[in-house]
Amino acid sequence: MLAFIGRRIAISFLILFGSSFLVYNMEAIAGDPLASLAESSARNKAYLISRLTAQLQLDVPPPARYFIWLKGVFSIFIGHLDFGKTRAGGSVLELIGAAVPVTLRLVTAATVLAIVLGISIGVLSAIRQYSRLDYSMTFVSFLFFSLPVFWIAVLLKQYFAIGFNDFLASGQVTMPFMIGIPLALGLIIAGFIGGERRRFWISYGLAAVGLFALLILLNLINWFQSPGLGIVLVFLFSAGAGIVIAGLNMGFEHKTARKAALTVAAIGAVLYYPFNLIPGEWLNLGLVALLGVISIVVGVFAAGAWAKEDRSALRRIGGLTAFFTGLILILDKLMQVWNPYVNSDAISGRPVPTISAANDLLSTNNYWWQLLDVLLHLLLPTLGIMLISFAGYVRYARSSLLEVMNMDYIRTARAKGLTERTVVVRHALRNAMIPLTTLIAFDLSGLIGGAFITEAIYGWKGMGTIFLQSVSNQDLNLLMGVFFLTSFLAVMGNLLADLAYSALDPRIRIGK
Amino acid sequence: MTEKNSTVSNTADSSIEMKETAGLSQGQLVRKRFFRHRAANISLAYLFLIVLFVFSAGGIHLGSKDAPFTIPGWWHLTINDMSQVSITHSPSGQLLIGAPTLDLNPFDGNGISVGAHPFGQDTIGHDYFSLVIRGAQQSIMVMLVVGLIGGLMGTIIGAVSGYFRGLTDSVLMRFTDLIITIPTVIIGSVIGSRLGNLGVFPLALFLGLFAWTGLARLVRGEFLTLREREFVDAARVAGASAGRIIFKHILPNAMGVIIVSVTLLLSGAILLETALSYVGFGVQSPDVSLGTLISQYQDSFQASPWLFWWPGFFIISIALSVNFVGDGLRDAFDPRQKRKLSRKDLAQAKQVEKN
Amino acid sequence: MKATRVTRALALTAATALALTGLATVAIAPADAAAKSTLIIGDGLGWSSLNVNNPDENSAINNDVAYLTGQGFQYYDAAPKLQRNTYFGSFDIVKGTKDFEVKYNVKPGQVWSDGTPIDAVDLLLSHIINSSAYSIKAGLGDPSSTEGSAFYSGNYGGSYDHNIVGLPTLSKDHMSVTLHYSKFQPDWETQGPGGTPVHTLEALADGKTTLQSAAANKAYKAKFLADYTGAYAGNKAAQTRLAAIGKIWTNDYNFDSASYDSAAKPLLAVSNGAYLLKSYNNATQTVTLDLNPKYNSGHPLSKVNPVKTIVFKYVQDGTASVQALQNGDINLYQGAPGAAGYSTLQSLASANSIGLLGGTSGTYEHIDLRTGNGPGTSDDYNGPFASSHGQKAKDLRLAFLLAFPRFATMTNQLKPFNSNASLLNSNFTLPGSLYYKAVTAKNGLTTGQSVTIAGTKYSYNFNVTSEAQQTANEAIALKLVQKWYPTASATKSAVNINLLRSGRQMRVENNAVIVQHEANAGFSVSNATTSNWLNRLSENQFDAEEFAWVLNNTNADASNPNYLSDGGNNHTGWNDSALDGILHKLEGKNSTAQIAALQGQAESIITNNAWTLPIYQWPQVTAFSKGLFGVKGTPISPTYDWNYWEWHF
Repeated sequence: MLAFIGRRIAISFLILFGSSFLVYNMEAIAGDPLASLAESSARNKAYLISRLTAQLQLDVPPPARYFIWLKGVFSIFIGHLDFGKTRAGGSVLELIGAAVPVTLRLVTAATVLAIVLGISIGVLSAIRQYSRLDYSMTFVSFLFFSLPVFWIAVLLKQYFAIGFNDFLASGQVTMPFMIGIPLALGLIIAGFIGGERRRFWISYGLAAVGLFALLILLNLINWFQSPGLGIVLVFLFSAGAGIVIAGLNMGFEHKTARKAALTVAAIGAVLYYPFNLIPGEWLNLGLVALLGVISIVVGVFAAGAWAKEDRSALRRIGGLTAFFTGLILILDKLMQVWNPYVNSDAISGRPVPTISAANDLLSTNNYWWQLLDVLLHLLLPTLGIMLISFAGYVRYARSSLLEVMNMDYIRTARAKGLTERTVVVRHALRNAMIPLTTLIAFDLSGLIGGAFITEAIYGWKGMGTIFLQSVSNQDLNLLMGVFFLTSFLAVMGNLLADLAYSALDPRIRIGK
Repeated sequence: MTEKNSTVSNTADSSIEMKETAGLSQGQLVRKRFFRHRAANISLAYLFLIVLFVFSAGGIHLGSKDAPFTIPGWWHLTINDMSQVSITHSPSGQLLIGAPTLDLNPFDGNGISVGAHPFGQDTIGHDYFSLVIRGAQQSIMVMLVVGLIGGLMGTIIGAVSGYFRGLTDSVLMRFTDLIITIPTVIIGSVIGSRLGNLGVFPLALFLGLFAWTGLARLVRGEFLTLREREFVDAARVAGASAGRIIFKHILPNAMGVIIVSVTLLLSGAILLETALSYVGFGVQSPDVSLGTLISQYQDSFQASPWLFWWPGFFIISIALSVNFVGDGLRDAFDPRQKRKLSRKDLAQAKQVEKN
Repeated sequence: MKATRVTRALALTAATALALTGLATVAIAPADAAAKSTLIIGDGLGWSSLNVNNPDENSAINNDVAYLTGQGFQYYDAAPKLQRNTYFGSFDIVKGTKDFEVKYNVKPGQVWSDGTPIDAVDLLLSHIINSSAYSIKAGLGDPSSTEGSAFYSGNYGGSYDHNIVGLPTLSKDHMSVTLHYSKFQPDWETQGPGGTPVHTLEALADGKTTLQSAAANKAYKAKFLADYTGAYAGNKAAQTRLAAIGKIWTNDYNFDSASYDSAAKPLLAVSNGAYLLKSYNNATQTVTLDLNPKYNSGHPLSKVNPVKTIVFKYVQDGTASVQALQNGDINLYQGAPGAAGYSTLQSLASANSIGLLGGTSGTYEHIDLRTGNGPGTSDDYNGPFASSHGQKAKDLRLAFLLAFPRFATMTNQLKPFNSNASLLNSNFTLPGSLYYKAVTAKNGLTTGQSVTIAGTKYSYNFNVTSEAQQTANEAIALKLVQKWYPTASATKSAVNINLLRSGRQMRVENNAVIVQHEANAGFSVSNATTSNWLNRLSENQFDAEEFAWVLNNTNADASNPNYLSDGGNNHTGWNDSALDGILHKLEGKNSTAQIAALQGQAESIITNNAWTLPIYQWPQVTAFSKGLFGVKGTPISPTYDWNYWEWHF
């Protein structure tokens, strides 16, 4: 095994060597860094050209120049990695160092959401194969899959940013939307509830009427301008989340599980006021994460206290419920700061931006304001990336689960008399996730360099942006820096995917 | 009501399936299953119609500039024709520059009419219908060429790699890894700067040369499994050559995987070309593709929305239907897949039970 | 059963009611909306440096920011016409001296943003970064060598460098400095020194990070003067010190890969502009400038609601800029969006939701014909236009230019942007400049010309305003070609022309139009479009080239490198000694009227030689939010922000 990994790593480096040599020479032949100086009418053009030639060693032919570059990369073994300098004389390493966190911020949320949502919907779709839900999800995921990312970005910006901000000026839902939103959302809700035709239409009607009433109420209390949940809704939402978690884990008929989840939700509600008293200025990401960890631990123990048997399962329920209760508390907190945030000078009533990664005008050390700002800037790009990559996960999760569900051991499990929930969650799902794991490992490695169009559209200066810049400016060192990092991750992701596959699926032997 | 019925339908299910599969060859079976997938059927028909439509409307233009080979289409304008931009006003008084003349509303008193520029005109007076159908032609070309080259290379490399295993496999798979690491944008920029605008064909060719990696991995996996099966041993014992075993014996069995990933490759290719066009490395002007149209006219969303929606509509509908066809094929090739039972089937099955 | 249902329903209703009360949180009254004072500008390049003299950092956005943060002796207005900034000081030629001397006086009473008075010592750094002789003698290194100077400046090698004599003379009161040149400088008005807070450079070289006391600043300024003169005199310590300052000057003002916060490094932001760099966020590429409370080196800001904070936000994509403007993410945008983007901006402007200024940039499109070899190529050009073919080549060139579809090209490419677009009729000047009218009256491009072919006189005019006129010109062009190739016709081409054009969208779209019109005159044009066309301008396989020149100043001799026989930008081998004579005169001292006359003469020679034709100026639009007033563009850098003092909400 170790020998195999060692060999694969060695080969990976050979691959990196080969591909970087290829790319270096292709790009060196494709573009001339001196080109942009030719049009210049500067009188000291000759000097500028000689200067750039010297700086980028353009007098050395590309294949030989590659090895100069490679020498810099190999200096990692003597302690300092050197990717060379950009045309502008900046350090490539520093530029990449600054760009990686930006890209990570952009893609992390979108990817996590896409994976979670995609797999959940894919699984649901597979369980209800050939249902209304399945058909519409297939259609929707194929549709999203077929959208050019910048095309959808224009629409997102027009409706979710410009349109929404215009709406916020009054904060009142207008009549066409009052009718349209319930009709559309109701369809989705009823689709998820499912059932026979009659039940579908009843749930559709109820959902639509309920939503219509809710919108009227929200209009009346001007909720969209100053939103909030309040302690009661916080409790109800976390209780609901807890019941679902308990149900999925131990079955909806399991009373202790439900009680444990409700206890955790109640603790959350009790902590509502103390939590709200903490000034936002005291907090930062680390502290909030710490609070989160503490609440999960509290949840684990509170739920565990109910246990007579199945302690670990109850603890899991407690922890998960605490996690979601925490999220709902944060959501409520963000809603509370919404109104002052929106009306602050920096935002001046238009909270959803179409560009940039953060609002630099917002000078505040209130953590909730900062969080809200970051989230709002993430909104559109996240939606864009998510919609498109989520489609892939829906399809893969669905077909993977369907395949497993047709296996003999699932039949056996059913024949044993296990409930459908146990069969799906315990037996089918776990095995269906194996090929998905490798897919995820592989996808993640491509994320760093893969969001270049999204970055360009939303004005984020991440890896993709500097990569495109390097291609159009013939900035070879910069390009190679980005390329080296992304291809390194791709090769490693590839290796990890293979290893994960063999670790998860005992039938696969590696090294053969 | 669920419990009882499900037992009934389960037994009924298998009996129906048994009856269906009796006495059919693999090909017949696949065809039969495919034609039962309604969305896939509609999509296939749509694809066929759209190809027919764009190639008959725009005509076929092949050959070089000096020796052109052209079959004119039924639409009288080409992408180079320019005429005076029409300036009209919408009912609400908004200025419309080059508004579409297509009128599909039969109740407005004018009936259904096509007009001079059904999809409108762009801001300098090109007929947008000509541009869009030319773009669709080019995008379909890209799609087919990438699919063909990528499909062939992926299949052959994957098959050889999976069948021979050992050193061949290692070398080929590491070569695949190498190709995976090279970003498409770089390929696009090299082609763009070195080959200029030779046209859509060389571009598609090069993209195809780099697009086979995913397919090769899948085919390899399939071959690794299939080569251990008895029928392969039998063929080998009977003295069949490696080529014969690969192409005559294993390949037909791996066809499901191949066809499905090729359809994914096809819809991916159309979007890849779009993305490349957006960053300026795709099809070069004056020729157009759906990708260049979308990236060029995305700003016109508010002033002239038809310039935004039409290429979007074509690209999405083509990619969508290719995906659906792929889905139908996947279901058709998977022998374990069950289909949804219609009410009629269930009623019949119950009848069978009673009898 | 029934009872439970009722109870359940009641409980549900109660819970819902209770829950909904939670929704109604107390609405916080919106803060008083103060008058808007923050201007957000969309920028598609990405700011990277405060030092625009570093040739790697000389981008448009860096220049825009530098103009706001630092003021000097002159600026370009909307015309564009060079204006003097009398708030900063005055300058003029010193009469009565033998050589050419210019004296620059700093207006007393001005201060840098840290309170240090501005004087002429602050002008001396200009000499260091302009004069190779100084750099070599002061031990900073030879700028033209591969090691270069300690000050990595893009100004070395210019006409200042070639003609400056000795050290600039500093007056006794340190309020003025006099430059000595070996001969008259035609662009003396633009090539003078600018101010730099030299005391901060000294402080930085000492490792200081915070603002220094007034006394310390005074000492640092004296130290700079000592280093400056000492290094030139050969003092090793002073040379080392100056070299250290050079490294700081070259590197520390660049933020290609780092963020900046003026609270942490206040010394870097010290300047005399109306606004000062407050912060740069590298992750978002956002630059924030704040009002300089001590600003007195330029026009005072608007009295009503002036702009107090200026933010440059990075928006790479054209569509994104338009939508960002609409959403209020940015308030000002300048660029050349596609035709579609422009029509969107127009519809927004007509709906009165934004302000929009159409305009032209300082870049102009033109068609050049090769008569010989460009610099650096050794093969002899022997194509149809080669000057060695004498009259035949000249006739062919004239024919080619006559048939060139200038009008159609201009209409195709400019109509979407500007319905009033017109042809550009001068190679040396742009509409709005002092000389354009006078030059175009004499250069033969707007007045009727005639040519005699086989005894018949034909009249033509390059200033085509209709298709009919173009057709008439093409007929004459065909006759000119038939003079040498009697069988030539619109269907039978006689001369093959290889035309080099860039792959830029708007040029490529026009390929077919050119081919078609030139065919009418018997030319068969093949297009070579590559993205690396810039490097191939001198290759003599190309008989004709269409590209753009960027005019970034209005100096009388700005175009000389393009047309002088030995000019650095003369890629097509043009050679005319009479023209060289006139161009050299333009480098001398002339009155406005003389310049116009000389340029007119020069251009008429160029027209007679049938070398080149200007086509049009590139379009450029400036769009801004409703409520922002005073925005006026100019084609020359710093483009839209030249009149920042007139901006207000």
